[in-house]
Amino acid sequence: MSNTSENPNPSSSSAKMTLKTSDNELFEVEEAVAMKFCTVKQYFEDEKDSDVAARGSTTVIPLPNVHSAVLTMLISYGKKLPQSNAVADNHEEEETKKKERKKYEQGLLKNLMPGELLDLISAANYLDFKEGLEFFNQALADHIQNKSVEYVRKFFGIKNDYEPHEEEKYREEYAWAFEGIECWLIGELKQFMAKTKTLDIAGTLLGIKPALIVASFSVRGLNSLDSNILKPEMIAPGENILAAWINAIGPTGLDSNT
Amino acid sequence: MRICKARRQSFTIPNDLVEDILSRLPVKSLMRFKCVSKAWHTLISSCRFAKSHFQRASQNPSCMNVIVFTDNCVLSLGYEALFQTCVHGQPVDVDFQGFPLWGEEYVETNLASCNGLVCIELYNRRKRTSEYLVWNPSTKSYKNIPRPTSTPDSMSCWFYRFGFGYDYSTDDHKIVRPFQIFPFDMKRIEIFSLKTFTWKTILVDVDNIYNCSLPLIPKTTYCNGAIYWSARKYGKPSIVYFDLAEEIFHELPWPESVLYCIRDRSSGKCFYTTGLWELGTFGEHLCLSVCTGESRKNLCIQLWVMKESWTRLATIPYLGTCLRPMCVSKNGEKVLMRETQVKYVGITGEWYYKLVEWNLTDHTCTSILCDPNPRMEAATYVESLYLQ
Repeated sequence: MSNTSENPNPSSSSAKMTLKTSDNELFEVEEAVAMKFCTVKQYFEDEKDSDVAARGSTTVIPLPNVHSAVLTMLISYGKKLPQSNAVADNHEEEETKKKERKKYEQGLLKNLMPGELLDLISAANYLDFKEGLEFFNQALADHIQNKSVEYVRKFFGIKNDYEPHEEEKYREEYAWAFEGIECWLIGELKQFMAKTKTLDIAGTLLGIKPALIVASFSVRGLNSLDSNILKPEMIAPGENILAAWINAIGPTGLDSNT
Repeated sequence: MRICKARRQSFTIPNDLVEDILSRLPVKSLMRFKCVSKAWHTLISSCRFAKSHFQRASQNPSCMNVIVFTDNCVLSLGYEALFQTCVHGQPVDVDFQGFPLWGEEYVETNLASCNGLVCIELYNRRKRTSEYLVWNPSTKSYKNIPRPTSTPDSMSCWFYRFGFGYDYSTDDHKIVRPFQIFPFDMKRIEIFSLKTFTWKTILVDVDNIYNCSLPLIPKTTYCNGAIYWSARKYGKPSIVYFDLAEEIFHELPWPESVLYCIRDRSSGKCFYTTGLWELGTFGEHLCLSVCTGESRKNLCIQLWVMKESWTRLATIPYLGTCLRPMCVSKNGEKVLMRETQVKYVGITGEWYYKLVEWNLTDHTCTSILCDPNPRMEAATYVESLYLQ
């Protein structure tokens, strides 16, 4: 429901306030939006009491804990919220505005990195921006809902103070809670572990026929740094190589590589 | 504008924000995250957090679930299964130690639920004894309830239907069972507190409370800190409720305009619908579902909700069955009800229960869990962390 509260200062309905961020950028914000940041509201009201506004100059409110990029996002979110001094909308207008906001919120979340959520929450908390905090807290909860314990620890920077056997016992007892979650680190780790093999030194074998042939593109000869080492240092059967290479030049010096 | 470059120092979320974020998560995630660190384990296991998590979940209609006990298995239905898509219950593995659900023939299973907990009663019809167990289907933990220490001999007294509810004043869940010792003079009530884990018996001062003696024995309903029984007073239907905080019985009269005695115009005889009503819940309000009408041929089911006073909510066609409202969808259009139908074979009647969903706007009825089951019990519960 939108309020039709009487605006005590009709002239300030389009008044702007200036906010200064931690990186010294100045933002001119409509008062209606800025008042949603309760810290700013409190500051403004304190200043009003001390009669600064009466001097006619616009006060610059410092926000030393908020970076400009974060403030930009918070302001644009604040603008989409129903304004407390707006004229009462009829039901239809309210519904369209609600849909617009939902669409905006979805778009915002799609492009947001999880780490940025933490910054937004930190700033919204500092500014005491209740609606913003509500929205971003929910977004963060939705994000971590299906994540693994390891992910959550890393994300929040929490140290695991459980003994391995304690943790193991808990995981066994509540195995149902660990089913069907997004295995981030564990999945990748398992994949890596499966492809690891150990090598044993077999020694030098003589008299094997036919002798192994080294591919033409393999390097031979002395190692350029240490002449005691002969190349190739290690070989394995096969010619298909999967390796990383920089884009600038190909591995074989040919125009095309397969 | 990307913020990544702007991060100058790592931000550790203060504890009150962590609590706020965690209170929005489902129980499965929270039980997993107890493993994150000892601090999180303590937080998630705390009573205070369980309470705030429950308060948030109870405002969210999607957190409503229904648990169904058929005669051989337990099924769980979530919000989507109930009100959105169809309709298959997820089987739930239950293994209660010392509490055999489908053990003996003369034992019936009764349910009562409140907040996130379900109280199961195994009632032995022959011996007239009851055993109780309290279960949280979300956390899968349960507690066997000890037998009352000072129960009078079950053969010399009459027990009324048990109730299970939440006492706001002490943040405690309670099981209550009123009873009367022969020759039916003083009425007492046994109360079990989950917090103290003990029973106590007190005398009650209530006039004429007893269940409808008709076959459709209604169950108790919990709503807003009180437990409601359907009763009869001097032939008229009435509602009696026990306030768990004050531990006092009160009476709640029926809505005045509802007729329970319908005079048949042609024969002049009275047709009483006093057996055809049930109490349930609609959202957080008490809901009365009563079969009434102008004449016997013109019956309908009226749903009344108790807000400040009785308000008529809807009227739906009467199809020969009794309906007990259980829960309602987000937009208030669809109501899940337990339908009771009596099938007579000769003179013996068998009661069959079904879960149905009524759409209040277009008066259509959909069956949930199709087979009418002679021994189906259902209860609603909200995801919660109580009783971990």
